[in-house]
Amino acid sequence: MTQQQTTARIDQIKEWILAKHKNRTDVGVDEDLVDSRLVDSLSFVEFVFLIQEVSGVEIDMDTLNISDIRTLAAIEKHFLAT
Amino acid sequence: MSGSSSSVPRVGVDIVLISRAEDLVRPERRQVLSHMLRPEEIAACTRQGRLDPSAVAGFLAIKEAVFKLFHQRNRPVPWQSLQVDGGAGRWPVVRLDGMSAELAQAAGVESEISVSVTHDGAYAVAVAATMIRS
Repeated sequence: MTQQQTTARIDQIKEWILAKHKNRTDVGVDEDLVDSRLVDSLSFVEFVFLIQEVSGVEIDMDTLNISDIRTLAAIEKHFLAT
Repeated sequence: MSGSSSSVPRVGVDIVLISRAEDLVRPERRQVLSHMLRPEEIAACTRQGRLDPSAVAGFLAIKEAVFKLFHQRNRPVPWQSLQVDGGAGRWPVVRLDGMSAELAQAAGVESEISVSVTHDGAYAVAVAATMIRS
């Protein structure tokens, strides 16, 4: 995966978050998505499905460590790394 | 208060906006809802052939309230292994298996988990209580 492809995938995830939070215009790469409540427990399942779709990586929600998806940087590292 | 002298009470609480459940019961979101509720729970939330968002919100609130008893920060809610048996006119009962049972054991849950749910206007609120090994 090229850096350009990775950036496009992160942008897809960012757009999904921003679509649900109209008061926001951007999401920092190191911003904690859970603590800031950009992703909460009710939107979490859909969020994981989105990461699966964007990355092509199957995620087992029973064993998932939330730290792996707490920030866009973590998502990139764990699911979109080349 | 019940429980042994080496136990302490713990409660979990959660609130769910019913409008968010309305979004989850849309047919195009069924995959997401099916991950959060087991088939028998979806059946219990069905009234006259249609999913009742208020009931769905109540079930989700119960599950999240119970999950809060486990004090887990880095695990997602184990939706499927946390079963709510309830429905219109019945007191809800919670059963744990798989990951939920493991998390309960790790948290020191040593008694049954009692839950209660209420609905008013736009919200469903649930409380869960148990005794924890101190």
